[in-house]
Amino acid sequence: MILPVYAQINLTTGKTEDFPISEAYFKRYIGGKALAARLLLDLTPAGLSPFAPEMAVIVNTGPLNGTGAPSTSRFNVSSKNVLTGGIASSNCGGSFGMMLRRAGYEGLIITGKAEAPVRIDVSDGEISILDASELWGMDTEKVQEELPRHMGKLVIGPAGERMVSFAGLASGERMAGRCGVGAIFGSKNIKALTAYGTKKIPVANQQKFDKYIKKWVRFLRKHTMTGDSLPHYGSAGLVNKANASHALPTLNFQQGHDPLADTVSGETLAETRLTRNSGCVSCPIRCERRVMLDGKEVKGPEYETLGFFGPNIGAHDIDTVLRLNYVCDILGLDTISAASTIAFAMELGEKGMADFGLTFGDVSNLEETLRKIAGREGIYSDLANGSKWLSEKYGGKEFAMHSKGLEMASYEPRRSVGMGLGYATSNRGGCHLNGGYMALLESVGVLSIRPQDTRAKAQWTVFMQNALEAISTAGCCLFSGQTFVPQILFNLGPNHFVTRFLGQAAVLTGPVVRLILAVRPVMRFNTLLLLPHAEALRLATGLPFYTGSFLDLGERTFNIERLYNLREGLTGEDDSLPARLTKTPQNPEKKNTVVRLDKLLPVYYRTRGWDKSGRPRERTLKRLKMENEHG
Amino acid sequence: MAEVNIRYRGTLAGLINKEEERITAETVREVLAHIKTAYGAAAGKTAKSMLIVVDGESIHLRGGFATRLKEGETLQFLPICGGG
Amino acid sequence: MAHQITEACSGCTACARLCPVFAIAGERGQRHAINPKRCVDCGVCARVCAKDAIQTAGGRIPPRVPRKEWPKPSVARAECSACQMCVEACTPGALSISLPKERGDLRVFAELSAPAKCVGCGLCAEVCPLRIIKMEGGTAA
Repeated sequence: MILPVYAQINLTTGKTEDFPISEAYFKRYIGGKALAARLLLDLTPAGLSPFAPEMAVIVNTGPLNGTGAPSTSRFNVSSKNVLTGGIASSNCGGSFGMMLRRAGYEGLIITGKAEAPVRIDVSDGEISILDASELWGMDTEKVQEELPRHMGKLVIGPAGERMVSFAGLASGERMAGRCGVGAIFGSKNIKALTAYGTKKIPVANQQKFDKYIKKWVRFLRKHTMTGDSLPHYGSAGLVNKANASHALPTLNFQQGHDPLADTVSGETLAETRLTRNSGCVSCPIRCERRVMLDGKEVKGPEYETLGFFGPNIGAHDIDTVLRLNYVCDILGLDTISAASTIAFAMELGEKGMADFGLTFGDVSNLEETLRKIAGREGIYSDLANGSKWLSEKYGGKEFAMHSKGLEMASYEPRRSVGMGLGYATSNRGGCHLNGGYMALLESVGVLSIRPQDTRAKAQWTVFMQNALEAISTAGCCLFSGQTFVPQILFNLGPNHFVTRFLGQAAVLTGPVVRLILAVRPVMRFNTLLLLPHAEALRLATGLPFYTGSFLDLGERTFNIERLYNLREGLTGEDDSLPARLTKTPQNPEKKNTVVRLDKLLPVYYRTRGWDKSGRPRERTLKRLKMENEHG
Repeated sequence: MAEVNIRYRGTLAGLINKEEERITAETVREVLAHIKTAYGAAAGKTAKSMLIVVDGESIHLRGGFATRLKEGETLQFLPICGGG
Repeated sequence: MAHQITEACSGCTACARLCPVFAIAGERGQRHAINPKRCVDCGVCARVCAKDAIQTAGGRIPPRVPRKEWPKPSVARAECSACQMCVEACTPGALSISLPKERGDLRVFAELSAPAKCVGCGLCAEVCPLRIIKMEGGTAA
């Protein structure tokens, strides 16, 4: 068995040393966000500020990163979440992760604080800490142009330098946007990481692995979701779908439907602005949008960005969204948190509670606003602290649209109540993906599992959360998991009685899902249809990964991040949503258009094997073989 | 009878070589019947399997295929999408 | 295993400029050296060396090969998923993903768009997850 080797870098002392991962940890946590959370528990004391020099930021990979398996450029950045005080785990599709592996390390654990701006370079197994004073101040595009073209890069922009709470990292044009990981880099004076090397990434059974990849890629290219819809429309295609189900946040989540949403839809983007589609390196799905901006081809916006710089701020100008998306990227800002914070500030303004010169529907000053946020200029420094902080200063907690402090994504959970539960329980805060992404099964996909019905939602949320966590930990893109919805449903379409019936009947499947979750270890099979990732992981590591044990890995990932949150003082009380979503029906005539967290959470905790206060029970940790660890 | 705007998106637009038209119809079902007669069974089948929205709202939140159409409303056929 | 540079080196820098993994360093006019950790034994340096100063891991001194006889990648287009692994590995920038024929055309693939930049190293074929790139022509070693 080839065990991963990380490097531990202390910027205060300038010392670096190898940090081999033990066999026990490798078998249990594999890599990625799971292992990173475990190491954060081990290596950092409780209660640190995210910006404390002793705080660690971990940039690491999973076993599938860079192996050539589809959509496996995705690497992970974990630390303490600037917005929530709990776990930060941010995922990115840039080339840095696979380059890091080729340079000889599976992960970097960075602690301490450099006196002046630095670049950490990893080349052929050697680590150097280089002066980066001349790079400081540059945007994410410029700084990467300055660095050698062939290297894998991970950089911050001006927002990270000034420790904006939702500053992200850029690797190429891909962002590790969420949780403020860019601010943590800034706090340590890290401007950039670079990596290059030619080490071959080891795979346990290369021949079988190659064969399986061929099959898997063919499967992805044939499936409607990964072979047609995502390449044609990207995630942007969801704007019209969410809007059709009243699940598109509008005017800071006051409503879920905007009659003009089509102006910023994926279809409109594809028909009028798209130059072509592209993708992260290694990915056959190719969901990335390419668009022209000032005569240059740049990355186009994702669904979240279109929704949040569109209907959620009362705007309907697609060209403005393209521009703001680019501006956020080069400044190094997370588009979701930035745009959602702006929407909150607009509502504060509307209600006369604060004045940032921001008004619903007015996009004329937004580019300037983003620049001022990134520069923490004057009063805009308040916006740079995110919605939760703002609501504590100016009021409006009931409509500050975050959970635990992290702004929610662009799904209105009152029309997708499972997604609401997901937002509330997601470890990193209001994240749809970490939250299990039930919106796909309830309101924006081909299937609609009764979006207002709470039955079976807790069980499905647990199942989905575990599956998505495992995929991330392995080093794969979550979009490769979209083939989980059977092709036959796309052939039939959302209007067919079979699809409709399944959507209705699924709310009765709670006990079945619960049973599946309980007997997982015996699911010793792998199938392309369900989770091809398990088979790929088995062939890559030589460890016995089957559907059951793969889901266990996901559950372990979810629980270890939960343990980190609990240690840092978050509790079950924090599994919450703003009152707008739990108390005020989206449609006053339909009383069930609220998220009944009070009903959902107890079932969720039970299904997870957690006690009433939301703490994993001893026997749950024992089942997951996590019981003998401190933390 | 109401005069409504129809917008064909995604593969359907390519299939019938048309992006929009105005027709008179009372329900969604009648629009589907029109597509089948005017553009053939394949187009009809594709249309039926797409996401159908009236003024941006899914017909599932209205009356399904029996959804009644009002003068001037826009009915769209949209591709199914995914992402996150 | 790695290639090495012998005393015959005149320091002309030709190999250092073409090495696709930037493994060769040295001053002009001085004997160059190959970083053994970095070298992938692609043989590009030997093909360009006018002084027969490159030695393979096996101790052989391969002859110089005229550029037009260097191997070139050939991509099985129909099978290519345009995943860009080869494009990313191609540091000289000879490969790229083809442009769509019209808006919405998804049938794109990796192609040798700048053949003059290709050094025939074969790294593209090595990283291709689908193993559909073959090095053809010349003296593919």
